[in-house]
Amino acid sequence: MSNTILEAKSITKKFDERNVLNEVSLSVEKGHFIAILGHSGSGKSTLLNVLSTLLAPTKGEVLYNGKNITRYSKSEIANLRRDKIGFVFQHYMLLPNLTVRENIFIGAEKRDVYEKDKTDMKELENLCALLGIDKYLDEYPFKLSGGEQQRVCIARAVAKNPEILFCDEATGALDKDNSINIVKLLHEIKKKFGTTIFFTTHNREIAKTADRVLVLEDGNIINDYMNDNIIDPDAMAWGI
Amino acid sequence: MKLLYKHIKKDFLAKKTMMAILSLFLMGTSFLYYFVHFSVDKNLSKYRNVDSATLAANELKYLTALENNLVLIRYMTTAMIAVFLLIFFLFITNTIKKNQAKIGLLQSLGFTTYSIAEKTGNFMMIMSVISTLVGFVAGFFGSSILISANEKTYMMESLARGIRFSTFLLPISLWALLIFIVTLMAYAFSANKEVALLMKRNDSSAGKPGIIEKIIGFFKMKGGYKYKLTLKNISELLLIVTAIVTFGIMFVLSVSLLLSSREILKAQREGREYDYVTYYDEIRDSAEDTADAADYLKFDAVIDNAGEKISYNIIGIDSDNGFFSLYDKKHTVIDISNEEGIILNPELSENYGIKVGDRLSVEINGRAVELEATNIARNAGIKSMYISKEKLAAIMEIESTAYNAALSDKALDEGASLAYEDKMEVLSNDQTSNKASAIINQSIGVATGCLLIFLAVFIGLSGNTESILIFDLLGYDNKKINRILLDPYIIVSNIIFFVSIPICIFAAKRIQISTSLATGDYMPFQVSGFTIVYMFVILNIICVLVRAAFTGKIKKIIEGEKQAEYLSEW
Repeated sequence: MSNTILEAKSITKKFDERNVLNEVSLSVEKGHFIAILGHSGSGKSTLLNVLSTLLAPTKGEVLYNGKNITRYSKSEIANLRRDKIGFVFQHYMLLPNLTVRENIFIGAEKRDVYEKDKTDMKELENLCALLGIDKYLDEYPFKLSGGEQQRVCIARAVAKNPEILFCDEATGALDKDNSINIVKLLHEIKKKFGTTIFFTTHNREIAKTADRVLVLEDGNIINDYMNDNIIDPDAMAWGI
Repeated sequence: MKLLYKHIKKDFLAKKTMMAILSLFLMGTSFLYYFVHFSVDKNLSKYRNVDSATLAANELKYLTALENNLVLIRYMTTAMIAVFLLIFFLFITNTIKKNQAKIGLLQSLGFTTYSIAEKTGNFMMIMSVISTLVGFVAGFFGSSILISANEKTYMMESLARGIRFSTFLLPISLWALLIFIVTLMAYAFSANKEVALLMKRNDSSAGKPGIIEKIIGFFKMKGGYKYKLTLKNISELLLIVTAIVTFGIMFVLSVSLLLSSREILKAQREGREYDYVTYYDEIRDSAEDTADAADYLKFDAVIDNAGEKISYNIIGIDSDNGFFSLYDKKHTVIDISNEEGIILNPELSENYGIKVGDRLSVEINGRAVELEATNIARNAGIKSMYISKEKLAAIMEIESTAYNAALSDKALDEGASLAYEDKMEVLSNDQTSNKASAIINQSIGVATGCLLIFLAVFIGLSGNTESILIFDLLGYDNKKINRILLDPYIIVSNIIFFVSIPICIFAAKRIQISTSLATGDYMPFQVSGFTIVYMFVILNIICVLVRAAFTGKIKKIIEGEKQAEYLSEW
């Protein structure tokens, strides 16, 4: 049985006749941490968005577990996002009028598990404890620091136990310590739940912690390699 | 889905000013609807079920007034709901644009655009039902005003208050359904983008100049950048145009209806020196004339206006009667005896489009004749047109000295004499009662128009919050910021007002004429410079109030030093 979870075949994405992605192809295996490296405007976020269904490719196909999701209807895509995909955004994107608990629950709300099953509720509390946000569950997001808000965002994404987690510049708005903590948490999630993680960044140190690195420039993958010397997030040399 | 609904509910409830104004608008419309129906429904069904031949004159008049009220309220509520839905659509599309990152986030969490729109629609439907019910309760109590006015006017006793179940249910269900549909439409129009583009709060077209920027660029206006900054959103501009035009139409119509009663009563006094009018059952000869009276002829007539039958009276009278003179629009006395054709009532020219020079097919007591319209009398009697007595006698093939009515300064011994003051009192009562609900409706219409302007300007100014905070962070002082970002909106509102005046007057006139035709009551359209001055003053008072409310909101952000927080809020 194939271990491939996501495949992109000759993906092109145009904005106003400008090619942002040029015929990009790749295949990703389950449980990998993939860093997408590149400068601003290289197309890394666009690639992430196309792979995660947030953008439709102008040309090409995206296959999820062998199924061509570019042909999915809107409701099928919504179901896929609801059940299989989690997102972590640079600016957290927490709903300010819901409490931390509600922000996390809304990520898994459609499955209704957290309202029915006490076991799942316990799991969620464990997850929040793992992320260090268990004491803020009844607070509103504005009372939390950037790092804490990002952890809530991760909790929201992980609460539904997704197969893939897409993180777009997830540490872009954080300081060194918080960034390291977030990267560490994501690795722990990968280990604990077997989640495949995509992580866009321009930070080469974060890329050193990944299983695989894709380097993008002008909408093309110019380098794609498996990391031989994966470093521990604590060993990242920050300050670049 | 509970949390999705909770988020949407909290998000809309946080827009306190806008939600309050939308609710008040619906409450006002609902009040108008129920206020009239509570006064009309039960009484109308009672009198409709009675053979009209058995009804007394006052009861017949009352029945007509009830039917008129129903026509008026149907027009009024339809127009107000149409305007409300337009404003509501713009409000929702505006909110979607401002919240598009949140909508994108919700979609990334697995909610479809439809499920988000559906939850928004559900919330709006609840708001609509609650507002309509508040209007229902207010209408129940308010209806006593119209019921007691009708009791006095028509000398009716113990009129009932009641409403048919279907009439009660219609606005509650229909308005809620329309609001739901409009919400779905707004989402379909505004949130139909790729999720990643929604979350970026802009797309590839964001940098392109919009229609407004192109227009400003075309005219190369001095200080045009201010207008580019403030009027960047075409839907906000459309919203304020709609609000000002609605307010203008309502205001002109309201003032015109109010003044038209006064104008009619004034016209009915003008040129009249008699105290009594006497009618005879048969045509009399001049030999039977009474001293100190002016005799004349009066017949029922039906005008055929391109197939439309208009029931009127035709009056044949001499110029030198000593009791009554007709005046044209320039206040010059009309020499009735020497007019070649008929002298029109202004109603015929204003409502039916009959002009001087037109040839009219008229049936007078069964005799069909063709007559030319030669003049218009500003003080013509209600439903009356005039011709020289000699010509009318010739048409009717009777002696030129014959008559069947007379004007005098004392009651005559024969015939049915009616004191002129009594006649005027009846007329005055009719004018008041026929327009009571119309005036109340219009007044509330003006109030809701004011609310609309408040809402539109507030939405417009709120669109500039980001720019204001950026200017504040750049070190601009408040006065300068206001001059750049707030004043253009006030200037634009005033420009829209002046440009829209002719449109408002035209639309109000058309509405008044169609109401007049539907009710059968002539309501001369009245507009003056004062009407425009009042509107201008009210508009600017509203603008000042909105500006104060808005700057208060900004002050809170600035004093709390939350500019950066606000600007980074996704």
